[in-house]
Amino acid sequence: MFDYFLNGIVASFSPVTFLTMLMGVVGGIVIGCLPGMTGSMGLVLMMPLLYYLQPSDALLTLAGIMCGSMYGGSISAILISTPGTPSAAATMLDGYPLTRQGKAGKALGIAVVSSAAGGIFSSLALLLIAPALAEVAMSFHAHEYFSLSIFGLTIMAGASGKNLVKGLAAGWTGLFLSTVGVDGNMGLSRFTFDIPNLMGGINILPVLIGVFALSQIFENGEAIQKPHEIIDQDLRDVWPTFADMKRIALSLAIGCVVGTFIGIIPGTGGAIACFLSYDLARKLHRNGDKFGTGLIEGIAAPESSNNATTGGALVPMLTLGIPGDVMTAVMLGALMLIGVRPGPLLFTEQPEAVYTLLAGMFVIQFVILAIGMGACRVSPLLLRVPPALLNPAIVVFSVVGSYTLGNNLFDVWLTFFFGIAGYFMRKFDFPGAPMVLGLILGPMAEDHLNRALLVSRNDWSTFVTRPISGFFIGLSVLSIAFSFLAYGKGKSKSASGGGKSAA
Amino acid sequence: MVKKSLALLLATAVTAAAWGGGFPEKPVEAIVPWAAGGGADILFRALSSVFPKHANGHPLLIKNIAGAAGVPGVIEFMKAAPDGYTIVHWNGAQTIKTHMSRTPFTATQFAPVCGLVNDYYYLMVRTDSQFRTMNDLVAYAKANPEEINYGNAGAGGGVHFAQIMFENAAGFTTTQVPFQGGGPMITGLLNGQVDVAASFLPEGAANVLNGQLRVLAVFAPERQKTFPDAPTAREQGLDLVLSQWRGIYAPAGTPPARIKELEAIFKNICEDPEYVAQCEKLGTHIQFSSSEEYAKIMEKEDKDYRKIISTQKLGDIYSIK
Repeated sequence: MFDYFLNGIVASFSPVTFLTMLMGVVGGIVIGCLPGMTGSMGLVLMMPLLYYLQPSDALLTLAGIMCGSMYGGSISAILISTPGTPSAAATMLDGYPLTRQGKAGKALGIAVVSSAAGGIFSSLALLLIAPALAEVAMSFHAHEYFSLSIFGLTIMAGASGKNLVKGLAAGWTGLFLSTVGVDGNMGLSRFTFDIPNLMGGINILPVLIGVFALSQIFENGEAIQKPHEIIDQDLRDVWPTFADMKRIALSLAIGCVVGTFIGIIPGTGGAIACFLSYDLARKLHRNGDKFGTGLIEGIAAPESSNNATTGGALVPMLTLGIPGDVMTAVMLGALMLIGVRPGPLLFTEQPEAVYTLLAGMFVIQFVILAIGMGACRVSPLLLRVPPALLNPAIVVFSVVGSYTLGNNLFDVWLTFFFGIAGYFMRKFDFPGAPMVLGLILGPMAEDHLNRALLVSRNDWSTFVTRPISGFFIGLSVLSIAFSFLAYGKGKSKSASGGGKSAA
Repeated sequence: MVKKSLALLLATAVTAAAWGGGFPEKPVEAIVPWAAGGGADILFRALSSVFPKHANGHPLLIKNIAGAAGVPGVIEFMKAAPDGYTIVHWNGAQTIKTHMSRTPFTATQFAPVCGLVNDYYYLMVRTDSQFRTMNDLVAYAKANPEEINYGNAGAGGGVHFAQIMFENAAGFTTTQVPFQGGGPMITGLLNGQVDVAASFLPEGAANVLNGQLRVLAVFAPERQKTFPDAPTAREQGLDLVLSQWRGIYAPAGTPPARIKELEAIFKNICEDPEYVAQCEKLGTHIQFSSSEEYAKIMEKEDKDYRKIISTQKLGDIYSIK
């Protein structure tokens, strides 16, 4: 096994392979960084090019885009509070406050180290125990998906900031928005108001861009007459120190494990993983209530976890022939082209192809680390750009991003709609993260609930009696109880100390 | 030196002439209104891999807009200009949908470009299933109505509809479990959420060939190359052929000359050995039909589906509630 792996490492340093892989990583980072552009879009853009490559090189390029875009999203999330991809939505919660404190360099450094750590961890898991992990993917039936999404929804409280009621209101709004469109089980139209564009539902990206990016720009507009306030960014020591690493060790571990696990389950992904591990890291932290004010732990958890989903997502694709998303579906296609047939026997029958890909995944993490460390020093310079130039540029990217989503002007209007809504949400202290969470998890919960009830002949008890499903229901109850306790504590604290509400 | 660069210039000019001019002058976009990794997607990715060779070097860009039996994808397609630069994947499921619910389009309002493949329906179970033949399954389902969980790739989709026709023809009932596309359905069969599932070739073929799934019956006139050992339904005493065409529509109002240009490109692709080899690997059955032939096939299919849906009182439009 290890000679295959070492051969794979050597192979990934051959000039063409390394160059195309590098291209994939850089392209992925740029695409991930731009608001509205996601990894799967990058894939579509690179597609014509991929056909000219050797399938094995194309595979590594794809892996590069996949991992690069996961990391890239954190740059814009940290610097301008605009998650470049849904997977970076949780990174923003602590990343942007650090930028406001002049520690953008440190935040970016933590993000890149965490990303690489997550990628390395999940590649290792893939390398060593993929067939065992495939069991996880197989054990997830509709019941388990439903319970997992319910558990995911309980962390709304954690993403709410100080005001739980307003957070939940935003979250339920997100859930409600997720019901718009033609339903998957009966094919009936809901809340579409005869607007054909709404039949497909409300996509996450226009909401993400509107609520986070555009609303921020609108708010910046208020200060247009004030002089440009440049926060001095300390860019000397962007590398995390030993003390930093000790601080984030727990968060990193949480992110790596949660991310790999979520990645394995087909049809989930980085957006869910980042919120889950952010919340878990917050709950297990001694000063959990400080999350959201600029803790490096709050960056380490989501960033390691969204990158850890990449290795995880390859598990069902390689061992079961099940692609969980567009990215792995295309990788599956590329594998078939080189005559590799993913399935239970792949690791023993055609180890060479698999270990080349796995070795490539490894090398990619170090490429990200190298590029990211450069980006940490350079990208904060963006903040020196006067708002009169930066703000319009962000608007342009937002519009282009939401348009390319479906080559559809409707999504652009939707983005502006949510930009305006997001502006008022900011003004009245309604957090955006729970809304995004509701919109991500709502459709998953609904679809799987319907199917689970069909299979169990409308027996609701099966959600509790099936072990894994019951486990997640139990976690959900614990999570809610914890949130209420923490909320009660926080309330009495702020009542005595005159607390300040956070956005 | 001058001669050399002149020759180079000339060579470039000749290449440009060989490829240059004519349709297409930019990438063509194919809207696939089904999830990535499903049958429609796999076929169109094979098309796009050879498309540039036959289209002045321009790529075929695939856009997946999944969900709701293709309706959102077709709606997106309806916004495209009738210039031949946007095409849409069309199959029986999309025709069915127009009779199951009120859609802002009909199955015959667009401009047919060509038929690409015609694939047969096949029934599969896990390798460890108690059902060894199609008749095992039918007998069990007759004795235990609605007990078997029978997966399909979406309510009102082609796979669901073939399922209804199979159940009606053989006279049994099951609990029909819809998934969001063929990929998730195969996953659901593999991990035991449903006992049996079926799809049109080539979907799921990879999982049959790697030994995870077993074919009970192929609903074709004769045995198929992909699974030479799998018996047809006819061999097992049920004279039923179920197949699904996949073809291409262009927007209504596309000039006939442009339709012919597109048709020619896809005819060339269907004869391209590289594409033929890919389709063989995928297990899909190439059956090219011209725009006129395909229009006739689609009209007949539209009438047939409409008749069955209205007599069976299925869907929003014909059901009495």
